[in-house]
Amino acid sequence: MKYVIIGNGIAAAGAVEGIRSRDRNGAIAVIDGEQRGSYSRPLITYYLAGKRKAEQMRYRSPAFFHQHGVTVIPDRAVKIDNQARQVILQSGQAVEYDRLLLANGASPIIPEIPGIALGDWVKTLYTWQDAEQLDLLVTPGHKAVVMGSGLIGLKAAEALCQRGMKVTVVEKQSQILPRLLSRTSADLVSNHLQDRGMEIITGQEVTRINEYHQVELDNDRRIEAQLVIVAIGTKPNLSLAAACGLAVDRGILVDSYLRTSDTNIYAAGDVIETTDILTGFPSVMALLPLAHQEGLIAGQNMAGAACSYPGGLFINSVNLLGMNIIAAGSPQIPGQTWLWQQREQYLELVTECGRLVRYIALNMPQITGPLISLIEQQLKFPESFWQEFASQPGLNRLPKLYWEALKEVQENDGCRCGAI
Amino acid sequence: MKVVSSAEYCLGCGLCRIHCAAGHDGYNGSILKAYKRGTPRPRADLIVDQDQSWLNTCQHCPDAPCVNGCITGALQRDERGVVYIEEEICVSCYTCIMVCPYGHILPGEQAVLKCDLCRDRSGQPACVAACPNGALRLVNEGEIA
Repeated sequence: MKYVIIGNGIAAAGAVEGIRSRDRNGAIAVIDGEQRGSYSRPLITYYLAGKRKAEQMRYRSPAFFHQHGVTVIPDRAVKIDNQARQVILQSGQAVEYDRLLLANGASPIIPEIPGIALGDWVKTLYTWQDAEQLDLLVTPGHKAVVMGSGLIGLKAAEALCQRGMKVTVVEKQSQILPRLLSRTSADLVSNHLQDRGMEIITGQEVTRINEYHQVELDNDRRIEAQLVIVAIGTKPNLSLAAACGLAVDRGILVDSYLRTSDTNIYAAGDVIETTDILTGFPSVMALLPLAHQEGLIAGQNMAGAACSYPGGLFINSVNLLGMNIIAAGSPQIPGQTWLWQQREQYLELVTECGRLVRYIALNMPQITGPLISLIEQQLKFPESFWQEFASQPGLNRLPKLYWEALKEVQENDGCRCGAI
Repeated sequence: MKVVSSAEYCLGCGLCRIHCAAGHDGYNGSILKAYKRGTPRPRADLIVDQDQSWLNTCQHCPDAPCVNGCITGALQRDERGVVYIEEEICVSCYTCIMVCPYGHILPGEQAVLKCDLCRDRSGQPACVAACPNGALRLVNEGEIA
């Protein structure tokens, strides 16, 4: 069996592990379009901040690929010929496959704004190479504007702040981290960041970037900037899949076995559209733990297993200038809200019919894992329980029922995909 | 392999955590060094309920969400199945803390803190050896916990 994986990110590493758990002998080729080896994308902001050196960027070492008998091809895939079952590379080389995995990720969205031409001082931060280029442009005391206050935008802003730049974040929505946080929690995070020197402007759109190194806003304000980072979001890289006729929507469409509309081609990671298990709606989630899990499951299925993937939960953990933010579920999900706050800590729980459906936790990471498990298990508790829990949240407040249910999961089935 | 904690026998004394801290960070088991000169950092929390207590130990899950979710590859599994952290690689993003259903992993300054079953020490893990009432046991895969 010949396996080919397009992309060398997190899902690709998961897929190698998945394939090898089932098939020790098949040939595996990884097409590494970025030609940087396996590295951890979230670390690029740590690299920019000067907290990671080049040799600390590895997600899986070259030894990992060697041990698993993987050939890494540093080249870009330009076409999939699914009749001949070949991937055509930029160099002209054709790589044959029996099973193909599309794990070719996403790219930053560039908005159509006058003057936004990416160039010497208007940049995105998505690849390690981007971080290297930005690293050379950072000058302490100079001004930078970050467009967008999602995870990449705020981590980029944090890195520039830590390098001594004067940073302004511009968010067009009325709050920062709109996909993660409620208004109340966003205000707390925003205050924390502004207290540490970051300027944050919400509810304003960038209308133009002019040749005088200025960013112009809706309200006619002009912000001086020696550097602009565009971080308004990402979109799956769909052109390879679409050109060979695979079904795509906002991401590549896959069935519950992570197979595309072509039975020999699977897809995993930031490039796919999957199901948000809380809402049941299709969603492009682009989260690292999901990318690894999807790769692992797709890899096993490519090697003949039938593991199903239920979809993912929208979860994130991020640290910004000393504050830890963990959120699960989307702020759009309605329900009954329970709040708890003490000094630097904040917890917002939302329940529906006695079941936890989402939460936001600031500076209280330890409780967040069990809370995700409560969401996944959909355990139902009376209102009085949530009231008491929210009055003094802690692991010791979790009911015995919770620990017993966990023990049962542990004893019955070690695999979270539920199929092996 | 994992340490199981029995709430039935746990006295809540916390000696397990003291010996855990002394057994890590190069204190070589010396409680004096850990608590007088250093910063003691136990790798597990004691959970004290209204009517019982137990040590919230790592299960070293066969398909561990923390290992799968780790953004840097710092969380790894050794050949005996022990899930441990390479502290120099960790960036303390807390993704592992977020995905651990037991709430076992603890925030730390440079790296998160978790049980490594005292893999650098010979014999029983420090907590098991120190428990005065036999509430902690090291069990192998397949044994009844």
